Amino acid sequence: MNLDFDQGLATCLPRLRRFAHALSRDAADADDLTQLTMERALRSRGQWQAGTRLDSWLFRIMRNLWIDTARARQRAAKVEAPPEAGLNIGHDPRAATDAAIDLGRAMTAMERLPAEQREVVALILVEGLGYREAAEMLDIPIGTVSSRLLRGRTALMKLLGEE
Amino acid sequence: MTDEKFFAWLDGELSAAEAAEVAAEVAADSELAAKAEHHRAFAARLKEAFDPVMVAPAPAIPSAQVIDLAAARQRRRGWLPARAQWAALAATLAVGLLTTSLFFERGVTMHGDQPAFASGALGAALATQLASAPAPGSPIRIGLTFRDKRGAICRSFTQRASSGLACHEQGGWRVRGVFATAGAPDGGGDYRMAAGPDPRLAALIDESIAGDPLDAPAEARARAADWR
Repeated sequence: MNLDFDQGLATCLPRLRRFAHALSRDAADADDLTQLTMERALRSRGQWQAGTRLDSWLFRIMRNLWIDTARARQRAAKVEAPPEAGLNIGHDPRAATDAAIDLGRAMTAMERLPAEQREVVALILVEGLGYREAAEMLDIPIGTVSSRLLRGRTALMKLLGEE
Repeated sequence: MTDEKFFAWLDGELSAAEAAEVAAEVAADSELAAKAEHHRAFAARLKEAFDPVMVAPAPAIPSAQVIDLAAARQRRRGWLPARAQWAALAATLAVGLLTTSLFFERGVTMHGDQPAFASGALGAALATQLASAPAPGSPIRIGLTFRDKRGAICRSFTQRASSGLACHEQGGWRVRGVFATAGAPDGGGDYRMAAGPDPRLAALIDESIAGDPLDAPAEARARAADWR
């Protein structure tokens, strides 16, 4: 049903934007990715099967679009990123254990994780998916999810100066 | 215990029996217990860092401002020096709203022309906080409270990187507009509020307000009356 689809899409939009922010290097890219995902979802709406989870379907579209562009983006980032981009990380003067993490810092730190760790951290720690859900979405064994998550969260803690 | 097992337990991925085993082991080991606490807190803060993105964006952008998204993007990229990340973040907030308004205009949602409602921390702040008694620790500050021309209570608010206006409708807070806040990084990666309200917000308030804003006692009475 189209009504279900439209309503579901609207309901999922905030989470999609959050997932996009967790994957992207900045808010501009995140909103571009959200836009692209919505467009792709609208064009492919016939492929979504009513009764299956729309949020998983949308996340998968977004993740695939992100992967399509990730390599090019990483190359571009190496050229464009200002040398001081990473220096704000880990120098928060507040006590590390109770300081809130600023969105910009979180995104900058996430950006420095290898893509395969970043997507697992984004799906599980930010979006709250279970290991199995993430494994199915990414088409990888659950043990791989678990080890990538371990490396990702440990590296992220270091990057944010919380270790 | 392997790290994988420890984190699987922390993330709620173990069976009840395995979880109980790990929990007992952690409870008996102060170092493990501290590690669990540390990682739990970190995961919570990481998730919270992305909360600002979840605040329902407002599609209530005047149609004259709904411009071609690609053109907006191009302009934005042309303007901004690459290092001004905070500025990109703030500027794209407005563009994000445009994006959303385009989705709404395309009829993607069943809300039709009824825009988004505030949720989460913003919804709670609008419903409970008084401008006259700011909540310590809340990232949201309430500015003016007033009645609009249809008699609904409206409240302006300021968050870290945006300010906006929401009005009480159908038991919720319908966001009439959100604007990126001009601010300056203070060196620690934080944002500092710009002095004075955003002119676009001021204009939106001007065109909505009927009479004068509520004073502190009237604001408190309005809250007691559930903002009716």
